[in-house]
Amino acid sequence: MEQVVRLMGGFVRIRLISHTPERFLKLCANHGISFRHLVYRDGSYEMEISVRDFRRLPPVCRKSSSRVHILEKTGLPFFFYRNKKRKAFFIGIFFCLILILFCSRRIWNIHVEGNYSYSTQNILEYLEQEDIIHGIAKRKLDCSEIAASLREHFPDITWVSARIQGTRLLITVQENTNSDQEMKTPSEGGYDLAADCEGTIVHMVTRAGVPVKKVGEVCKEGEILVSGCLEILNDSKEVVRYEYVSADADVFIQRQIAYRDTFRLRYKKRFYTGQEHKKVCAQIFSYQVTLGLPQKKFEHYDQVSNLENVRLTENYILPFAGGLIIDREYEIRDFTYSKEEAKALAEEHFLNFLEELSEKGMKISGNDVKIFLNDSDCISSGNVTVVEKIGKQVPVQLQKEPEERTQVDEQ
Amino acid sequence: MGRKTSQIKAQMVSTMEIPRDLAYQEVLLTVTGNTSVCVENYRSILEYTTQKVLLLTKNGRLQITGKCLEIQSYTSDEMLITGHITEIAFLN
Repeated sequence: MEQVVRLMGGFVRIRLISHTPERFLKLCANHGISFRHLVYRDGSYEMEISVRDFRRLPPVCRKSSSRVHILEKTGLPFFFYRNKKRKAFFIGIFFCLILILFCSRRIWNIHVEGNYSYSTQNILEYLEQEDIIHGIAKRKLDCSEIAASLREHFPDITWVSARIQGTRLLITVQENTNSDQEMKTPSEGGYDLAADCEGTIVHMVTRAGVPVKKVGEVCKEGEILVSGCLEILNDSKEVVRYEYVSADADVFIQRQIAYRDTFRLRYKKRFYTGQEHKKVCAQIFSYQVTLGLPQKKFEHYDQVSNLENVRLTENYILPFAGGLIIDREYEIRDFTYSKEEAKALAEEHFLNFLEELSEKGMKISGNDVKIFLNDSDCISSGNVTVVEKIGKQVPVQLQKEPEERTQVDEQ
Repeated sequence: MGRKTSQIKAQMVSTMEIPRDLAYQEVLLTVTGNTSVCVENYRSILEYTTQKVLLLTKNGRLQITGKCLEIQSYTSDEMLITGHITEIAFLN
């Protein structure tokens, strides 16, 4: 930084010719004139001094009977002086400054953070509809209005902050991640827990509500497992009134899932020959221009495009792209699985199927899947026994409130 | 300055915990390895060559010897000397 300030102000390298250099240096110190890079060379002193201090040197030189020779001039004032005839250069600098001034009054980067379910592209597209685009003037932006319109348009966004920092528009959003739970919260009445598939109940823990089914019973799809309607009884075991809760329980059922997988033993596969054609490509809007000499086209080939869009800032993408396009030749060849290969592949398919079930939260308790081969196919079939958690909340059917006996007596 | 006055001054400096370089205008040296030395509270340069820098301080002369000595910055308050420093001596 200090160096930049020195260059802006300009400085000169001088040679001191004096019989009493020490007196010269002492006088300079007393006058507040500072030096840099003072060296003793060939019987004289050389030093760097700022232009401002250089103009204060004559009285010091007179007092110490010294003379100074300028060896080198460095810095912005000398640069401008040397190039004073190059008018186009100064006009260029002037326009450059105007361009910087113009650009600094506009938004060149719209940065969105904190979004999960809505992609940045979604939010940018919406902002574009609202005429908030890259290059918009800062004075046209109203951050509070942007925040309000984003909240209104995206219902899951609960909090938005929009602020301008330099030439960036920073939008921070916070999304509502508990929307499912809120939906389940009963507003009026309660919820029953119903079976969403058929099976035998193997384990049940009820936290809220009245269990309708027991362990060992078979439940069908849509049947109520736990009721959200609570009967409030009096001393005579008569129903006084009903209270409704949101039924909550862990219900596990055991059921069988049919599995069947068939594939042909003879199959076609792409065999890459290793021949490639590389082409340099430029794309402007939707027009693509391929550069390079024309080459013989392959009969079968894959095309891999690796085009990179030109972007000014993080999200400001220009409609220009450039990159490489590679054509890879391949031949289609026939192959046949051996018995062992076919069995291994069938087992792999089956394991993938079991893994998918596990990812869905199911526990595998057994299977009777058999793999057998015929002349043309490999067939795997059987049943997989799984234990899974079931239960979906359905609105409770409201019961008619029983009439109070005291009222009957009075009538 | 009489002996008694200097004693009082020394006592005051000690009680008020004033740094000695401020109280007595003593020379302050900051040496970084053998490549640079920063000198504060000096009075003037008596002699300067690439092998020797002789400075006048309040309590005497300070001699810095070495090779390729260069005064990087020079103001009335402080001076930064760089080069290959071999010896720093106080001459009375």
